[in-house]
Amino acid sequence: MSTSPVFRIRIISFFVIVVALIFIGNLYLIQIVHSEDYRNKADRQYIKPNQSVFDRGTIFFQTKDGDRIAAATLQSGFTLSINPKLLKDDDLVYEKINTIYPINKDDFLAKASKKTDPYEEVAKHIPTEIGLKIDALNIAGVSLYKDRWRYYPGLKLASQVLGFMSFKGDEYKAQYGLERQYNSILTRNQGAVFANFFVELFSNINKTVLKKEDLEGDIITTIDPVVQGVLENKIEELQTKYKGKLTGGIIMNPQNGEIYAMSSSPSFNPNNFKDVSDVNVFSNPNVENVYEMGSIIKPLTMAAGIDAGVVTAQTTYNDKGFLTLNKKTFYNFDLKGRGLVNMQEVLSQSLNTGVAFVVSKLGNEKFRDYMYAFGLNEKTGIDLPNEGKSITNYESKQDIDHATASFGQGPAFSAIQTTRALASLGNGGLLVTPHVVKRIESRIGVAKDVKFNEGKRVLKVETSKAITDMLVIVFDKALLGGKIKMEHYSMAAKTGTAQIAGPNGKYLENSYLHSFFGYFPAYDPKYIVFLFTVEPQGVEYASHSLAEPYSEIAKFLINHYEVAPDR
Amino acid sequence: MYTRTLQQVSHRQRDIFWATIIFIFMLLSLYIGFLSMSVVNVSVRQGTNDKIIALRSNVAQLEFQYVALQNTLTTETAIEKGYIASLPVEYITKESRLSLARP
Repeated sequence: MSTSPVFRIRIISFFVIVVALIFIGNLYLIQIVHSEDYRNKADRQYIKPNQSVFDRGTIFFQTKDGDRIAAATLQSGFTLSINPKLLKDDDLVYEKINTIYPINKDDFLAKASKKTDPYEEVAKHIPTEIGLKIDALNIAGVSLYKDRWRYYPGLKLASQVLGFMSFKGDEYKAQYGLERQYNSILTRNQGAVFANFFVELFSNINKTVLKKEDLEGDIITTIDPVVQGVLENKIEELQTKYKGKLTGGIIMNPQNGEIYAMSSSPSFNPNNFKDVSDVNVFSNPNVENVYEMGSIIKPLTMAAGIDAGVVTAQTTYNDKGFLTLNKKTFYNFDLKGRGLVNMQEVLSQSLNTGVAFVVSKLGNEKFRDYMYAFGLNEKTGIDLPNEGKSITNYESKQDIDHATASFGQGPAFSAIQTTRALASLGNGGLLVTPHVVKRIESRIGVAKDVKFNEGKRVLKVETSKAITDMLVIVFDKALLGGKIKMEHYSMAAKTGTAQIAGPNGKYLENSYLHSFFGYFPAYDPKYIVFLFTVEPQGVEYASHSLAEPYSEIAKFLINHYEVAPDR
Repeated sequence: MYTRTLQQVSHRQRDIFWATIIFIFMLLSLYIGFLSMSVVNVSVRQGTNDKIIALRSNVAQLEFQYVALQNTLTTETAIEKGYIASLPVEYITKESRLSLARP
């Protein structure tokens, strides 16, 4: 039987294709479906499990000149292991290693005694130069493997913003802060350099086409390390001086929400987080904790009143020093009445009855709507994890609840939420989104600036100007009797001293939260500084504890950023 | 005539066969060459990557030390180190000169 050449070619082609398909199918089964089984089988043939060296993207801080400083990076060194089978004299080996790199003797000898075990890890994260010295000893049964780990060169600097990496079970996982928030970008496909072509091919198709995962990259933050350092020192000083439970602070650009510094004390060094006894210090209280903020809320109430047209700086009311609503009475901080006073004095002298008067003119519903517009019932959307949710009572039917809320008692907000709301007073009335990351640069070269909305308008531009006028007078004349007034720089500021509620909901005796905010240059602010300290000892009012530190921070910022005088 | 044509075809097939063999051999040589180069490059890249990591980490440490030192600089420290504050410069304006010129 004769066949045509074309027919024969088709037959051969058919077989070639079938064989190729069988090969590809087998490759898929071996390398994708059963890859874990085969890897495990292979691992059992090695002394040390086959693990790729740890890799992760870098988190950068950025100076005012645009220079980047790695705040979370990698450090390389060695893991020291022993093969107990090959060790001849355990004590001698211990002595030799211990002279170069101190290790626990009991632990070492216990591991060395496992003579049937070919691999025991003695120490991880050994610096390169020390590892090389141990290697030079050339001891039989002692091996060094390449190791790499997360390292934070700034030590404590911005630790609660950065977060850290730690083992959770067998997994080296991102915990807290930016490490956790941007984990998908910072994580590296382990051992990609040595990976098999087919595995890469299939997994990349999966990643890029099907799942559209984040591209691996580095992140550049808005944190200025110099400013962060100054804020951190100041916060530490305050914490030491007044022995509060907690002290925190934020420096933000009120125009766009870029955070230049964020700090709190007590803090920790993420390189030695195991030394920390209280795990609560790992969280970021500026973002996660909520507090009754006290009188720094008064400018928001006043701005609402001005914006709605129910009061101006010159509007007067009769201050009796107290007010009774729903059979409950609240007082001014000094229990004194001042008679006929205007709204400027309400802010300058921080009169509780004065802002309650504003709410009475505004109406509870309108007051609530303004507070909601300031974002006080929602999360800010900051790019840090575990943002705290505010506790509010603006829906209450009781007038007393609205009156106390007007001077910052009752509702509880996070520091970042409060800072954002207060920023709208100075920036022309916009509610910006606070953020820490400004740019993401992927490994394949694609860079993306992180964009946030300009922010919704919550106040008229004129209101912003009017409330700023009032707050500038507060800073220049009322605060410490005008002692910290700056001749050539206009500053808008206000203090707050809030009572702290106990576990039963009743306010505690002699337990206060001090808070302070200020923005400058007041009429085109580039910086808003927010400070707070919880239960400070030996100081009565926030004006005494936080006004001077604010003034020092402001002077530093003026010099650092070379802010031009505005008056 | 027919035989001659067959011979020519057979000759051409032999040429194609050897050309293919040489081509495949060249491809194999290139493949092996590139493979060994890529192994070397992967190793070099790994080494370079380690150096980059070590350098970046060192530079970052130095940068933070620098920042910390910068933050310890106070006016008191500066005065201790010999800083003398310059007196504020007073400029004479055109107006003031005119006023000086007046009797």
